[in-house]
Amino acid sequence: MLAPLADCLHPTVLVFLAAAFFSRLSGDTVRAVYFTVVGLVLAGDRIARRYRRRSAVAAPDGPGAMSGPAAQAFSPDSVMGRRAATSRWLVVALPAGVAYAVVVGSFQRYTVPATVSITVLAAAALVAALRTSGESAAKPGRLDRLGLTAWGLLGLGAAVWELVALYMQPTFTTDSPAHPTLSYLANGLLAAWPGRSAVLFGWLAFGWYLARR
Amino acid sequence: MSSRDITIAGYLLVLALAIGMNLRAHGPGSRLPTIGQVLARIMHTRTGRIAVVAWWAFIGFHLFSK
Repeated sequence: MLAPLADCLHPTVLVFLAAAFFSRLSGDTVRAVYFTVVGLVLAGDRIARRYRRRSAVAAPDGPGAMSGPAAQAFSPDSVMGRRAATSRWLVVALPAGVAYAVVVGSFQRYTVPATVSITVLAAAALVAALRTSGESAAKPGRLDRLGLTAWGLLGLGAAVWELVALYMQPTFTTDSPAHPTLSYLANGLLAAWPGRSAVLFGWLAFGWYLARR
Repeated sequence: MSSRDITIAGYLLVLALAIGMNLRAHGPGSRLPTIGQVLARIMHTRTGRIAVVAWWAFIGFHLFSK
């Protein structure tokens, strides 16, 4: 009875809902909607999988059973195959990534061409992640709890520091040179074409790295 | 030292700590996980994998999109 509620209150879901709350506070409705939708999709996905697992146990060959490549294509169990596949594609992906970074970097930020270019790629990645990510059959390798806590505290500290800078601005929508947020500091780098292209290439490279994990 | 310097120093401290911790984690016999291992642990589940991709997408939206 409480299981669906636990899915909705999963820490990952709560992080997205908190991000939506702070985005709304800062007057950024579009990003607030984005975070809310992602949080709700994750919660809905967890609930749906819970019911699929239940029906699969009741009827192992029924419609609720997980099957096909979509179930495991991006599970940690398939990491070696995925890395081999991405390595084969690197010869195509690298020049394509450079071309994308150069062309999209030539667009001014916050314009329609830049927005469409980023949105199409990001949406494709999100749809791919939703359609192909699978659970792992294996237990995760043990990591030192104290070490994980240290990384968690560092991430939390970074988030709090950014939020403090945001709250010290005159208003949430007015940048302050005296209390710069990371976005504000990035403005200088992203003002010119080479800077935008370099950041875009780094963004793509990080996405590629994630696809190989 | 101005408030701007303090704010930027905070970001640099976080960056330096992250680099230092990761270097330490790569050392022999370290119990501290690397950032890659932490990321892999988060992405071990379907929820975690989709969440990480959603954050990656957000960075792109945030820096370049309306």
